[in-house]
Amino acid sequence: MKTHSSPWTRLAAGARLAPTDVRDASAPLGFATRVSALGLARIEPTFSALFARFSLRSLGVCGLLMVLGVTLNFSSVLNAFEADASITLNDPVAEWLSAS
Amino acid sequence: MVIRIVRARLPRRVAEEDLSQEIFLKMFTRIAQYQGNVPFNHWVSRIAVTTCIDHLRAQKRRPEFRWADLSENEADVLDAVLTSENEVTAGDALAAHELVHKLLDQLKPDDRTVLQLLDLEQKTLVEVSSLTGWNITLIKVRAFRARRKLQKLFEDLKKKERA
Repeated sequence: MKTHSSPWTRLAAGARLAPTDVRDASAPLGFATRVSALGLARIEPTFSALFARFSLRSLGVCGLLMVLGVTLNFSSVLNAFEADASITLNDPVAEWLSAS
Repeated sequence: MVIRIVRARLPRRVAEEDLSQEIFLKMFTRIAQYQGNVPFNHWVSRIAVTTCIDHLRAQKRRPEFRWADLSENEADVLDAVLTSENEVTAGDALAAHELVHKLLDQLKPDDRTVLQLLDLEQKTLVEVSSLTGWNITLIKVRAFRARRKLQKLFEDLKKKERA
């Protein structure tokens, strides 16, 4: 019969005699909610969701550019309207049409 | 189950709750990969064990094992296993348990996991294989190498002896 055992074997056998961990092994309060929220936040976006997101952003950027363009070229826009009005005033056909 | 696995393999400076949360998040994001070939608790255990190993690997440095850091009981138990052939008594079981974990901290995470599963939790090779994803030959080789490293550590400690 083999009587010799290594220090590790004896130590491990002794450690196995230690009482089992009796601490509460249930998840802490709010753990499930936190994990679910983090998990849902990590879900990869679908192509349509990505498209919708970028479409909305590009709409906003376009609107901003439009306002900026009009503001910067306000005098040119105003002149164009005035020129258009003067053409209409000197145009005999336009005068005849407005008179009839 | 997850909390118990985490507690048994908790790396230093990592909160039990944080590690458990990471394991559950992995489960959550990989749930589509679960094929049903193995029982669900095996699948969960495997994720938990591999996540713990990853965290242990992330710890670059392992603490040095010194006689001076041991408690009186731990030093007595270590002295006893080094110098005599007697088994550790039930009264010294807690000290032996602490000592075993300090010794396991000296090993690489993979080696540590193998010895913990085989020698402390007394799992079979097949169970260890299903928990870690390693094949049985690899587990045997790792266990052999890990026990040899511990043996060397014991020899070094015997030379140094308690001051």
